[in-house]
Amino acid sequence: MMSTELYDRPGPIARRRARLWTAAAAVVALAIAIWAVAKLASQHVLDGDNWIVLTQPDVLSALLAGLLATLKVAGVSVVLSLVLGLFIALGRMSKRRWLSVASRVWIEALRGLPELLLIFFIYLGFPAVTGASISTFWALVAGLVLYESASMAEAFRAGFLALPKGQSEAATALGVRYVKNLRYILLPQVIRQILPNLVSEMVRVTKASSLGFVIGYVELLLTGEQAIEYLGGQYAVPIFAGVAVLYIIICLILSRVSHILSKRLS
Amino acid sequence: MNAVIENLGTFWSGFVTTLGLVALSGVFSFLGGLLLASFAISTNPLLRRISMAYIGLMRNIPAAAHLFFMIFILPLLGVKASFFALAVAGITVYFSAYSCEAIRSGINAIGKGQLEASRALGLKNRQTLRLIVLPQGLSNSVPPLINTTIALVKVTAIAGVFGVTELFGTMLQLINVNDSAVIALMVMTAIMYSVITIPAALAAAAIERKVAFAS
Repeated sequence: MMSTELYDRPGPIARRRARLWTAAAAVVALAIAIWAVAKLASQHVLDGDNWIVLTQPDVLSALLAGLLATLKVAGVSVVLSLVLGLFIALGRMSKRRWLSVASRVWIEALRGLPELLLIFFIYLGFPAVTGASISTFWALVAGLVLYESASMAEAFRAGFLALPKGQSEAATALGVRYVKNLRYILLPQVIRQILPNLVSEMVRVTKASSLGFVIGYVELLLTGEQAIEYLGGQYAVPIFAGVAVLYIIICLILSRVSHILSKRLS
Repeated sequence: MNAVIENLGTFWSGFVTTLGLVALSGVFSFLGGLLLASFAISTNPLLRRISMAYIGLMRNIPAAAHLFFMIFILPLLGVKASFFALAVAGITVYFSAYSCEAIRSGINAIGKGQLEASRALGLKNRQTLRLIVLPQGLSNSVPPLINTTIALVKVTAIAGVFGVTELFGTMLQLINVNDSAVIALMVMTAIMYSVITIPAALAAAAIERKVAFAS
């Protein structure tokens, strides 16, 4: 990919040298791999008996249930942060100064805080202020939505600013009101533009939902932890590997979709 | 409010630990990212593959899972190290991938004319890399690297859950003893994180504008 732009097209000597270096690198990589495998085997990590645990129906169904819980949080959070993000973006672009300043403060403040802290703000703060309790699911979702609304608002704003000005001028000239203009003329175009952004946000939220681990929402990572606690330390690596692979598969699929969308739309 | 004022010293030491965590894992991630980026732009297809595979795998595992692996699972395998060191290792493994992407985006942003001119002047590949690509690529990648560091600051909070008494871990401990002052303690923590992240974000934006203006 990049190398074709960075360097001259290699001649015969350069190609031979590249092959030589590739072979040398392969030897080094192989040596590291063998060392790592030996090291793991000496800790009994690679014993087949331990890895069989991943084929057990209860473990598998627990991990899949964890994955579903993760996806549920991610899905709900993305939809809600989309809505909130849109309103904040509109506020940020508003002609009313207090509204645009308030939206700007919201965006800057939330972007600078750890997601985990925001989740705790809801999880501990909501009961402290209102006296009512909140489920771990909604605490997690609310924390993630607070965080993501800021980046979603910026994505929407970039989308609105990228539209030609004539679009909304023409609408105004035709006597279309603000809400209708937004709904029928601006939003359809903006959403098309930020679609890839939305999917990559889905990846971010999927990963961030693992923070549910901390407040005790049983998603994928916490499921893995519970399985390790329950089955014993010798199964720690296989189960963690299963959890990691599930995260990787989901995120790779979503990234792929985002890539295809951005190619199609451009 | 009193709970915050009484514990200012505790907050301060948590803040310092956070800064240490950020500095160490930031530097290591930058070095790891530099190595991965040098693999990614190398003429050697094997190294390019290794770099791409590393990024594809590590970036898609959540930060919490990285820290969980380092701090919870490695000790089960007989690795003995402090929580702080393990946290630095976990954050470095995760953020090396992001640093690599930041550096690569800087290198990608170099104008094609630069490379063509360098070739036209008869510079060898190695000279092009050292004299043309790296200086410009690295200065281009300063704003994305700052943004990566901001993300890193936020991820260090997770280490607080795994027994590192940085800012977030300090807050959790204080909440345990003063459960009537939850909000005040959380607001104080938020302020201390913002003290790091907001100026950094403003700096990144300012540098970006400057770079955009210069080119």
